[in-house]
Amino acid sequence: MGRGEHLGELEALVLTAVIRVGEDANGTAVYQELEARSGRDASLPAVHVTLRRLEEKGLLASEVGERSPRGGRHRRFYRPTPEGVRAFEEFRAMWRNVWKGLELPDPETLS
Amino acid sequence: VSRPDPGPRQSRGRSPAPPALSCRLLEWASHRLETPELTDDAAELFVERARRDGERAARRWYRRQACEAVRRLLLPGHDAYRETSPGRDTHRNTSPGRDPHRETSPGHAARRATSVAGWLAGFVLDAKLGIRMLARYPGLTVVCGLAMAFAIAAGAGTFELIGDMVHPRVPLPDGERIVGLTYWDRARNDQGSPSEDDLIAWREALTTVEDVGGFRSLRQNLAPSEGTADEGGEGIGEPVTVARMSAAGFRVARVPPLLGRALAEADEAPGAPEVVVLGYRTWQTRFGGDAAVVNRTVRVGDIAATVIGVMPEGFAFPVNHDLWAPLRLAAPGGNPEQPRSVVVFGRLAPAATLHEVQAELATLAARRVADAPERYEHLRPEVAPYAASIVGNFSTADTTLPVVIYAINAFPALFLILVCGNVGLLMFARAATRERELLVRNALGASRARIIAQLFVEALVLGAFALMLGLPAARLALQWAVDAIYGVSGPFWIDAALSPRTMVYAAALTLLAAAIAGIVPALKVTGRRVESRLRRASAGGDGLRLGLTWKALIVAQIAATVVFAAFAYLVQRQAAELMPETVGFDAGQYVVVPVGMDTGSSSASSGEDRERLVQRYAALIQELEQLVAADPAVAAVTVAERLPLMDQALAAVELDGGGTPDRASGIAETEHARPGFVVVNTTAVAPDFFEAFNAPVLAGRGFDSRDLAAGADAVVVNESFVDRILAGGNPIGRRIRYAAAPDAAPGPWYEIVGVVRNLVRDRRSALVGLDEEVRAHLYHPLSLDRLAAPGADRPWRYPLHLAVHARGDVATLAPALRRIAGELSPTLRLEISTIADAASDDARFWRFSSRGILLVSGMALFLSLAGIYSVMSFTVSRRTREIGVRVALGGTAPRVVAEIFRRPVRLVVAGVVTGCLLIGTMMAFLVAVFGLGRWDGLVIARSVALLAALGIVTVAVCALACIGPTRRALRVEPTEALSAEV
Repeated sequence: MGRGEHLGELEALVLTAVIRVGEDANGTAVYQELEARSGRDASLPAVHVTLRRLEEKGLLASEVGERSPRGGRHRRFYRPTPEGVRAFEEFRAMWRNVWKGLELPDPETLS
Repeated sequence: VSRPDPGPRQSRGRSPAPPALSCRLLEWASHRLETPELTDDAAELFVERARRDGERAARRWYRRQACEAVRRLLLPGHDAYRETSPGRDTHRNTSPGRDPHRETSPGHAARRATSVAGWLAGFVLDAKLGIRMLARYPGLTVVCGLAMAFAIAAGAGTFELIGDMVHPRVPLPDGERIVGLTYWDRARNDQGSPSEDDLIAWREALTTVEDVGGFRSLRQNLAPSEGTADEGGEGIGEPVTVARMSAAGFRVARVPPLLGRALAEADEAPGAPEVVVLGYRTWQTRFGGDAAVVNRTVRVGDIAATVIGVMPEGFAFPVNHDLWAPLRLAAPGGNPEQPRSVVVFGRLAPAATLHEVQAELATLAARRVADAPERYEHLRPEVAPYAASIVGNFSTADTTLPVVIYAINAFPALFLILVCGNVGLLMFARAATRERELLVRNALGASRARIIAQLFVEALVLGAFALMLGLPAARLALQWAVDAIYGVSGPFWIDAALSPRTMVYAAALTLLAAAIAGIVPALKVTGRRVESRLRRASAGGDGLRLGLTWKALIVAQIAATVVFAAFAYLVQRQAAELMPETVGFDAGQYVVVPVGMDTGSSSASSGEDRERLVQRYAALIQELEQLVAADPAVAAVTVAERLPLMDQALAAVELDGGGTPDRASGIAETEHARPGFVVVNTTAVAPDFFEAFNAPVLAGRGFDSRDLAAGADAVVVNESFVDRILAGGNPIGRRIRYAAAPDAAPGPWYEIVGVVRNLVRDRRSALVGLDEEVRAHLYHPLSLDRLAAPGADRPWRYPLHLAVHARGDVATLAPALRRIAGELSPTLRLEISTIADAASDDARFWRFSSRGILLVSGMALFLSLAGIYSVMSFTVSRRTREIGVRVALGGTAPRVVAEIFRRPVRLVVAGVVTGCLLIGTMMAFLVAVFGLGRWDGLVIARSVALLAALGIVTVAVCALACIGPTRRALRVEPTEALSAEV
């Protein structure tokens, strides 16, 4: 990852999901993981586009595996590259740093 | 991860399937996004969701995903929009590692297959870019958009107007199958009207035309009260256009009445009760939309009739009628000498064609000619589409006319090309400022076609906005034109609405406009020597130069502007000249009241009856004049045959001792003219006429009571008569008489007793062939007492006109006049307007064209100057670097400025000179053909002055355009200028 480039939010989420799912990390699995963890209504095209972008950035690697149950094309499985793990680590460290010792005011008192 | 067995594609039975359209959309988007696994995954998740949340929720989810995919695709920042067209070789990609999918992706072939879809996506993207570019250059957008909108409006409006005239379409159900049956009179070489006998014969015999019917049109007073005139019924009558029409007319029109019933055959029987059907407008204005109007008794003319129905809004068949009464045909064998004429219409029988009708008519006609040769020999029956038969059939009467009329469409089209060339120039200027962007994109692999397409789409976006603006503008202009040409009495099929055909035409014009404004500049910008230009551009040189084409275009543009403006000036002046202008009185303050009288059913034909009728008419007018004069809001009132600005009667007269008609002064050689005779306007006026119109007697005397006596022979002439016919000589005491038919005895002599000032300005027209207006005027005294006197030597023209000079607001006068007339006699029919509004059709037409020309030429001039300004300003601003270098090398400001200004000024001067040469050639040609005699030296001098002024303005605009960028460039530090990349 080049200088000045940082993980975007969605990129970070997808990268995390890939790491979590592990070996079975194809588009479907990543999507389901993301949806389950974030509690958000994720978009499948966004996940796919992000996966591809992360691969282009060299943070993920992919290989073609078994055929999809539809009998369609081979599915593509993703795994993090060392750079990917490092980027994730940086990302996590950054947010940890950012949040360290942060005390939130009570939202009730603000309104 | 769940593994459902049959994919949704194969599942035709009970198992859930994703929505088909979304499925295809997603598939397409996934190819474009280069994420081929997307579809499979979505299908898989869909099945799982269907199981978990139900099929409906799953389908909803799937649809959302498809939309999301398309949205991602269209995101401007998305890298799916690369500078490569789909399926294109990838060798131009400078970084091979950029897209790892490209070589391996199975989507490669699919991309080629979806190239159409890709093109579509590209189009959408270009459109978005186009909108963004428009927003970025608001000034340019407004100027270009307005220009295109104006051109499109002009084109579409003309097309619609011409279409309406040449191929009028009747907006009734199956309106194109309604036909009119007429005669072509070979003896007169004109359209002849069928008689009631013909109507009966055709109705009985024709098998190819159904529901043959006829109508006669007349103006009658309609009073919403009961009682006939003789019973002294109350209520004030107002004139309406009445159609005495066969009941078949309502069947032909196929429009059911809104209330009550339409006319029926039984109403036409002799002795049947009098009935009328009201038009919607009449119903609303006279009866306040009262639903209980049916069965009420109203008075039409002097007949009481029962209202049996109301027609819906907009219904005005047969032409522009407000009221329908049954057409009662004369009893067969009534008066064969004077058959009453009717307009005949019908509806084509199912499957019948116009040719078949024509053939059947010809067979019938042959029989009639055999019966009565002298009456029918010269008449050829003709069938034509209904509207064409009413307004005159262009196609049968004259085959060249439609060609000519369609050629008129070429002018707005040419205007559009001119305007779009201008827009193209501006777009080129804009495209040139983006040259680097375009060049870099080209280098990155965007094909030339791709860039041209983008600029075309940008122009198209602009065109679309222009279209949206232009169509309503065309509609407004059309409304204006229709009002100006037809007034309020246009036939019902002439409306200002734009037909679908015109919309298509306007869309085609827009495409043409976008092509000229977008593709031409794009071709220039993406010209052949891209590489060398790229090098130059990246080296910070001045890059693009105006090539020969553009120089030629600018010169042509300026020349066209000059020619157009000069030509518009000449035509406008002509229009202004032909537009009559009153002298000494304000036409807006005078109300014209043509006094019509309903003769009603007691239509008098014998001489004695007629005389009584005229006496009654004269007495009524006298009484009316007195009553009106007593009204405090009235300053003066007078009576005349015709009032100023109206069409006047022309007559050939002879002067004793011979006139010296000065041909060059513009006495028209019309059909009225004969050797030794001169053509003048003649009008009979009441003695107080000149006073009421504030026209002083310049010599001799005006009319007085002695001129009204029997045997009086005094006439008064106007200034123009003296100038044009007597060449300024003394007219008092000279005698004048009317030209008689060659074998008839000459009429009596009249003596000129006075000269009055002109009421309408007498101006000479300069343009050839348009100077047909006769301004020399001869006034006779009008004696109402002797109107009906037998043997009156000069016949008078019905109706007489009351001219009322209002003291205050003219609008308040009409109701008062109506009330006075209504109280006096219900048979009086007053059609009230101001003199300005009652002006002749010619005056109205010229007023319309003169304003139109002014608008068009003003717009053209403005757009041309805006275009020239932009391009000049742009070319100079591109030379910042050069200016910097010159200053750095020690060039003084004046020298640098002179150098900078030289090129653009040279272009402008070349353009102005070309334009002047063109106009000069045109004028020289006209002079050579028609002679200088008719050319006013003043007009030529003014034209030259105008050309000079135009040239100065154009050069000034050009200079103004150069000043800004030059000053900015001069202020820049040389070092900065050197590194500037404009």
